[in-house]
Amino acid sequence: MSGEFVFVSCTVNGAAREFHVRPEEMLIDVLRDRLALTGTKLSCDLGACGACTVLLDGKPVSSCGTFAWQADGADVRTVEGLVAADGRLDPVQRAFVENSAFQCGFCTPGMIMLARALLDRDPAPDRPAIRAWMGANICRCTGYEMIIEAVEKAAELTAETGE
Amino acid sequence: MYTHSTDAGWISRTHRAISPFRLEKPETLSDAVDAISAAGDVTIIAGGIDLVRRMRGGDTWNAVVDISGLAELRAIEDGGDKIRIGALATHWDIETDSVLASKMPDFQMAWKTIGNIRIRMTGTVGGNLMAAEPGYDGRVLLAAAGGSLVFLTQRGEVTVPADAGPENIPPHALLTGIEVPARGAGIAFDRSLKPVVSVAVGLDGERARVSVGCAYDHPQCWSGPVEEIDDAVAAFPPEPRNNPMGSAAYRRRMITVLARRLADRLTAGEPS
Repeated sequence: MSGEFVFVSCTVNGAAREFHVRPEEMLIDVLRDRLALTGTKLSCDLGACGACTVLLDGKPVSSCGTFAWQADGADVRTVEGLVAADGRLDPVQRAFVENSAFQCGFCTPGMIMLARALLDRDPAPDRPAIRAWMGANICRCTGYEMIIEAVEKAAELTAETGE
Repeated sequence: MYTHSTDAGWISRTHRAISPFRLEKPETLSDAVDAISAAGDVTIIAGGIDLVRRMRGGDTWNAVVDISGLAELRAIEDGGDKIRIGALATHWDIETDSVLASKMPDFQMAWKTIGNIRIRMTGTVGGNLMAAEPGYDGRVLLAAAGGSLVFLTQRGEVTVPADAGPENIPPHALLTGIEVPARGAGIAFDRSLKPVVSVAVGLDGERARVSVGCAYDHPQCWSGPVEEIDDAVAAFPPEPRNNPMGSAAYRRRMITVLARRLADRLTAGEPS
């Protein structure tokens, strides 16, 4: 396959989407620019900080370091997709709010998606596991302790509510 | 940063532009080899962790060959005296594979230290090795384990020991996987001084393999009787890098210290 544009068919937050993208177009630009899903934040633009983390078939990826065509056939979830149809927040989102696990909030969507990926695999991670997993993303404000506590709280909320 | 106005307001777009390229998606191994053998600047993408970083830094390619659809390159197979790991296996695949857990737990534990979870779930063995970055750990670990790289070329399969220099990599070759001896050699790895130096030691009976990363343009390896490690490693022929991050003398000293420490740990049977 070659050519100026690449056809991409995927689901984004449960909705089927189709695009023609240039090969060099990044996933974050499609999400933010074409779909107005601006919850996903562009920060370092190097795949290092994790602010742009989304889930690609359940895996946390840097959307600034992922070509849009790499999402072809995949299920993409952004922070907007965690909210239930009735507006109820995901347990991870609720835990971040209840624990004030942010200051400026710019890293928060990426942190939440990273935590969601962890809890999807391990509903009851211990603190070392949370620290190791969440160490992938960078926050310049909070010092991380409240973020780790929020992930612990999210695990508790998930266990209590079965969400 | 580039911004423009949309219905959602002002949008910032990725600001390190990647040069346009043609995307190729071969459906077979032979098509992939043909694609990378074609004239012009051609490179391979699998997970994309390393390539996107390089292209953001200004690397340009006429064509990028996406091999991520070649599912046969992802398997981790128990071959009895060796384990074959497909080039498309992710670091996470290695980290969670039951065969490696039972037959090569040291290797698995050492590999688990690569990158963060986002990188490990997307980045592949092949990408780590073929990037040939001095600071990447895959080649260091594979060399310490006595492993090799298996390539497919238009002339057939070529196997290259992991401790061989970059000049031994055949041109226009597709890395299909790696082979790791499963003879119980223990491996210990110390990356605590990265990016100044990293050292892995593999022990198989009385023989040791020492592999050093970060300190040279590509990993340097030595193998011989374990009691000769100190003198042999101290006399590694190439001079380590000498820059403000770490002098050559400091790196050489740390290589010796870490190699001895890791060998002692393996000899004592301590977990890596």
